[in-house]
Amino acid sequence: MLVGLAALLAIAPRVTAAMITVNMDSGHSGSPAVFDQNVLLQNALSGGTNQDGNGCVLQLGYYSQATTANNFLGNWVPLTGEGSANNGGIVPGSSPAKTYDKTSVGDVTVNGAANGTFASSGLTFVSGSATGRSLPASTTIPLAIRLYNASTIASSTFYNVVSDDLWLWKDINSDPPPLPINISLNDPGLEWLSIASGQAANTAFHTTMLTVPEPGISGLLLAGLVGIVARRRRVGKGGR
Amino acid sequence: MVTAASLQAQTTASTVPVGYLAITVPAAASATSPSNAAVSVPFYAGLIPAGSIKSVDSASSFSIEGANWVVNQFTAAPHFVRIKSGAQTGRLFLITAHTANQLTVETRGYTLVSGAPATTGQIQLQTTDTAEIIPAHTLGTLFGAGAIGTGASAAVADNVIIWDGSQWVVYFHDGTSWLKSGSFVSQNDAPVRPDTTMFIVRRALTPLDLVLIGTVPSGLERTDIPGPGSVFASRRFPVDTTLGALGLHSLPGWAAGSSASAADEVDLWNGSTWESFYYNGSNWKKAGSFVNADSQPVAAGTGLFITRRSSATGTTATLAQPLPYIP
Repeated sequence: MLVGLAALLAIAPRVTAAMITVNMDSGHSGSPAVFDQNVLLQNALSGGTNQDGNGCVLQLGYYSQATTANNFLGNWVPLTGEGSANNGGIVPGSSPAKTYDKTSVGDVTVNGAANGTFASSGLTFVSGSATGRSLPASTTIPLAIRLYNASTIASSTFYNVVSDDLWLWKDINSDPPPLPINISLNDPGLEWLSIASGQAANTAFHTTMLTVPEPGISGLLLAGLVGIVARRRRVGKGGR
Repeated sequence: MVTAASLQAQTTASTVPVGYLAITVPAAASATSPSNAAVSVPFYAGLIPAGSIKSVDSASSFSIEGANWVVNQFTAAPHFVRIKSGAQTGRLFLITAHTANQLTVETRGYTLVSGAPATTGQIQLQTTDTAEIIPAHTLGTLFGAGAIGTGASAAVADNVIIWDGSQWVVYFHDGTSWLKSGSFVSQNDAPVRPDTTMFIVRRALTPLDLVLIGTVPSGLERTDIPGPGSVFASRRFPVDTTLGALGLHSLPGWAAGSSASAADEVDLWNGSTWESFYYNGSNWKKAGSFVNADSQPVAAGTGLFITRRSSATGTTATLAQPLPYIP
């Protein structure tokens, strides 16, 4: 017989545990799998030092209108990594402890990650918490990973995004919580943004998409450029 | 584990070993964040010797030599029949009806035969095999009054959630009886199979201390893990083991792969989240890690949510676990 020893206290109304865990790794048995833009040179994306969070930027995220018919449709929403709204929660095993918005290539060292690899286990997104912001609104949205070729987006020149129809978001409003979403670059059916955008098949696993400054930034640059040209014209007209 | 003392006289006699296991379901973190625990019962509620198998009478019934039971005495409250010896040792069937000496059982897709099996979906029972009757744990017997938080609905009471092979079935206690969410029929006698793990949702702000007590398994146990599909299998024995030692990867047709999504998958509840594991052909791996996970513990009184992407039916889907201790 099973005996309950705890006194029954007030029972609080409750819906469900709205949470889900995502595990992600670069696969390939821990050998470098992701590389910078030159597809002929196997220059692995930097994992930074042996500390976590200082390698090339790695974002787990999704495109807002993505479906399995088009995994790259809509606006990019990072769930982890630079720019993510999920600035709470500690990446399990990270050292020094890194919040979810600091994920990078080379994470997590204790899981065996290094240059050109990543391995994060136990990223748990809890609705209503600092790890539960900007979560996908639909279970028809596949997750994706965006990789940059530098340790900040601003200093990056190239990136790429990989997704897979297997990486569909799940209904997190259930008890027990849904099983994890397991993401691996060993999964069959990987789809790369570079290839979907018309680049060669060998751009897979490489950051070959040219980074485009945000509209606000490009607008500023354009305005600055116009200003410089105008000034030079004025100087030219008034100069020698 | 506690083993009852044995008696010794001119001939050695022994009692059935009994044991207990204490499990704590943590208190809910808050009114809106229940705690969860995966719990299995690695003990039987008792053992009733039955005898040798006399004959296989149909695809789902067989007779016991010398039995003289009161008709349906084992169905008023649910009971299992367990094959105690022979090639099918460890097979467990729910008794659905019986006469004085013939048992009709729920075979869960198998066909009982007396001759050599022609397919993996047939189970051969022989006259040299013996059987024993096991009272089933039920929601009513496992969770006594006050053991679990009651409430007017599943949304406010503690829950016991059982995977039925395709979906989670939610049970709760309304203060009078166990109910299934979406039904008004009492579930007090709903059997909890020994090869199944329950998921307990605790909503109260105090921990739920459970003490599992019963007869210790004293022989090989079999657990069906068919595929493609999922089962929430129990550890079966009241001692810890590891993923590597469990031997799932040695099941016929077990799909090894280079990622969790490409392989048969095992998920373990760590108290707050699921952790995913897969076999890569050489070792167990944890999704999101490159570290060898062969020694990943599988605790007594817990279970494994197993998702087989590979096809496996009948006896080829059966995990046979030898007794890990001397009873």
